[in-house]
Amino acid sequence: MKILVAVKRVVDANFRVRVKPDGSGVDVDNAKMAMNPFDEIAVEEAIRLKEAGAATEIVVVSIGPAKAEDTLRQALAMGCDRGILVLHEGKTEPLGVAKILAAIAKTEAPDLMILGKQAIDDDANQTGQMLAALLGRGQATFASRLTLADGMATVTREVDGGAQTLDLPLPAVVTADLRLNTPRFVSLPNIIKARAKPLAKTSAAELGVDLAPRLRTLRIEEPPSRPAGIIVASVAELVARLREAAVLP
Amino acid sequence: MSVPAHAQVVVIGGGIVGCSTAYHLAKLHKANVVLLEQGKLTSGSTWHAAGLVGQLRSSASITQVLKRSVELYKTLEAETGLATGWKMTGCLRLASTPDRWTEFKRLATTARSFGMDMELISPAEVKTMWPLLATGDLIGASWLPTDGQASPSDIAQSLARGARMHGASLIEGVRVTGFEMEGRRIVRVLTTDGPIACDTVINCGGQWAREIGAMAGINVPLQPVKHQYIVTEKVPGLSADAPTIRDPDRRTYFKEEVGGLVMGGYEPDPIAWTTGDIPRPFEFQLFDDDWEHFEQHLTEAIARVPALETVGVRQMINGPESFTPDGNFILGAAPECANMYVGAGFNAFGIAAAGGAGWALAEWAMRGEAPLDLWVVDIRRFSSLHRDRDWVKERTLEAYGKHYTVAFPHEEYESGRNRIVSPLYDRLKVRGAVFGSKLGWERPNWFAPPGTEARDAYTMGRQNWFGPVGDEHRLVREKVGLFDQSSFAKYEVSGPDAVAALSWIAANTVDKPVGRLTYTQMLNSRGGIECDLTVARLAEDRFYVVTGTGFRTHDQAWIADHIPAGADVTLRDVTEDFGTLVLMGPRARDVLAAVTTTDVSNAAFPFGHVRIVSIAGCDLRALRVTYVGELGWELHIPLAATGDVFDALMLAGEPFGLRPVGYRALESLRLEKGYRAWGSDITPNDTPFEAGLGWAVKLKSNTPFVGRDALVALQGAPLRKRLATFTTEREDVVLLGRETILRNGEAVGYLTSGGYGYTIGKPIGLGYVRHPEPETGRYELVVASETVAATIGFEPLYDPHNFKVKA
Repeated sequence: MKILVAVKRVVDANFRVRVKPDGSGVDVDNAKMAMNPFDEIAVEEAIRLKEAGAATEIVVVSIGPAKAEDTLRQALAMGCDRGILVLHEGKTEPLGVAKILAAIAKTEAPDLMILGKQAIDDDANQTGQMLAALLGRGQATFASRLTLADGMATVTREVDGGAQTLDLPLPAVVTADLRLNTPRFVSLPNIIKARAKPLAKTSAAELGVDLAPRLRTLRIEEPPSRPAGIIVASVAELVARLREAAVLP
Repeated sequence: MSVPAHAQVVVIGGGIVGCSTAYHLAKLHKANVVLLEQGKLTSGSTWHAAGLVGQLRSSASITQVLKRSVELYKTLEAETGLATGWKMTGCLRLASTPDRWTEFKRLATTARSFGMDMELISPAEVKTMWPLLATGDLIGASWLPTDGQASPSDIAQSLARGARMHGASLIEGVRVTGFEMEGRRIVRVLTTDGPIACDTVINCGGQWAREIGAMAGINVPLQPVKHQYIVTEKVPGLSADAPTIRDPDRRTYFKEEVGGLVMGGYEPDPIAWTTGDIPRPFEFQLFDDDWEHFEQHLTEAIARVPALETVGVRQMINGPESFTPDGNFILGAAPECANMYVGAGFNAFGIAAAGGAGWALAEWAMRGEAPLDLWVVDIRRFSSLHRDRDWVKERTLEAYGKHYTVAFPHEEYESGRNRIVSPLYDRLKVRGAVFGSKLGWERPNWFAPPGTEARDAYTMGRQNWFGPVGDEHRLVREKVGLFDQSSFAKYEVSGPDAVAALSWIAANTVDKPVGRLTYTQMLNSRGGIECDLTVARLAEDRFYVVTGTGFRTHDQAWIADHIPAGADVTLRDVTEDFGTLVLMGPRARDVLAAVTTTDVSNAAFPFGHVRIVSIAGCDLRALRVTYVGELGWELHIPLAATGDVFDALMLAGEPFGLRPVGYRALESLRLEKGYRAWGSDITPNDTPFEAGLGWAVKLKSNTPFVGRDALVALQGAPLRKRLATFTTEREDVVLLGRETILRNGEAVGYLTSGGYGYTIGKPIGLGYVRHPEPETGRYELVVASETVAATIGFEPLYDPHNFKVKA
């Protein structure tokens, strides 16, 4: 039982991003980078499955610059067995990434693929779906619970209005939502051990995938800033103000 | 909130140092203060500081400053209502090598000298205090119970509130964009919100301090370095009041934080951040985790705290901290500008220092004078050399890398050399010179005899140069030696008002006939000694001033700052115009007479005079003066001719045994003669009376001078302390300075200098005795935690009546 997990190196969640003055993108030149938090959940889920005896090997993949090795090493420190770094400078789009992962899935033949539901940099929420389509496999997105038994994955999904539980035959693609688990902190010895774990490097060209962007960014804008609030002296004033604003009848 | 049009003082930077400075300015000086922060308070580097608060430094004054921080952090909450997170956990320093243990024995003695109780404890005691430590490899530990830890952002916010309570205005989101200058004076601070007219600017800009300073033409030589630490999950069994740990042999430190551990380290291969400007904005910002680089600390940390094998890492903090080329922070009045003060470059002990440093900076800025001896952190310890950013980076990284290495006595830096060499460098090198570096200058420390390795071999005891330096010492005492002191700082003071100005600044009489020298101090308003130098009167309106290499910027600034307003005086640095050869020893006259036709007899050229002498076709200034206590001359030679004069002297000196000698012999010679060194034996904390230099003060004349009033007030009163000479009977004791002086078993002071006198055959120390009857009593010295019998004296040990000097 082999699990393939994909991780993306993104701007750290605590970093306050700023839109470039020309609106062409977001200035991340000096930003601290970290593993996409949803991918951390995907990694954690794979490790739990392995620890529970449901899986035997976890392969973790990242597509990005040389520094993305740090992100892979973190996944290895958490407990993945080996890494594959697809070196690519510049922008990646969901379809390109899905094609890379599909190419790797063809040689690795994993029984399960777990991805984060989306990356916090572009919030695209497409890669898992595209990967399932390219491979012709079942998909369960927004997973909050995952169990494996008898060649089937049982996945509870977070959907509008409640939870939906699906059974799907393996191999399958699952994307992790926030409540699937709480990722572990890595221990010091595991950080050291991770440095010695195998990590293969390849490229989109070697995998026969064209990563040239197909989307064009027209403009990036800051969301409108929230106007300053007011401090009211009493509940009565609060109610009056809310009535004024037609929030209350 | 927009900026006011005027403020008395503008503090730039809302980190812990800026907040502390604003707090002290507002509280103690009732100053009208505006603090400007480009982002949010603490958002530069204060917010990610680890928060260990240690107090002991190798300088007594800096230790005092750090103690002041602790006092403030203890009491601040009561005043402002905002907690500082201060916890007096104590600090354990672990020793696992014999050299480290020796270092700690000396450290414990230094602590005692500075009035702190540091204990040396056994590995078993360490285990009791901190059960999670693996102690198998330990020799012992030092224990300073009064150290602790605090929460950096909380202290800064508490200081900020305190500053506001006392009327200061702290404005966030305003960046300084420039300064409007009138000559050397800032008249307006230009900001993104408009200009502020002000009297004084205090640059507490952290890693931005360099850029801010540059806008006013001043140099703040600091280098941001990437410093990493981790915060772990809860460690089972870790006590909330566990002492902070410094484990220098494993290059790591630990601190308890919400049940887990903060662990960081000082690696030998640190990574500098930019040598250019800091990218903007950089607010509450960190770098990527660099586990590859941090791995060296992980291995060491696990070996020390095995419980770390099983706990997870909650967070890695990789942030920039400002470090400096000598590991000390940067404080005081910038020499290039009339009204900018600096407090920056805190080398990762900014939290420990900020409370006291803010106090000192506020005093300094408001009174125009440092409140105590702050020489080791004074911004005037740098020179134009420190404008070279690459040099500063290299030297700073070396200093960072040495943060936790054993500090061997007499250790020299290796990076950024050779930077400045005298014209004699090659000539000295072939004669076996082993060089040290001072303010960038390569200077011969000693000469390795043929067949021995020309290199310092650092050990905690006597080092490999001890024997050769003894030979150099005896050569000067018995025959004649030649020192290359070309790095001496030299100035010319000229103009119609030169004599009046120097008479105002100098404590001794400089208004002497042309051709005379004066050894003089320059005093602050408390009567403390700010400079110690030689003044030669070249003409009615022209003086030549010579001082130590390291004091070049400091002394020049002191003189410049105290020239009375409107006086017609020109002060010019002429350091590089002259090479300096110092010919010393009983045969010095024989050598000099052999190379010049000038009459150099005692009658024609007595002590304390300057003459133009011609050697090797070159007219040079010969100053009959000495720092070793022998007959001799300082020869100040137009730089290009220095080599020729050296060759002529060496040739003529051969029959008399002349050889070049180095700075380590100079040190042993001056100690034996009891000559004081500024910065250690005489400092702004010490008056001439206390230093035994009352004879060099012109109190009897009616001439007013800086510090006179203070001395008049002190005159005749019992001395608070008195400088004395100590020798030990035991000949093998290594004195380095900071050893405790015991009188009848009670601590009464500490050594300000220590060394060995080869002629008297004994270790020698100088130090102040704080006791009403210093002449009586039984004296001992505590040397590396061991007590040895000592003899006190108040006269030079060698030639107390100056027969040699005036021969």
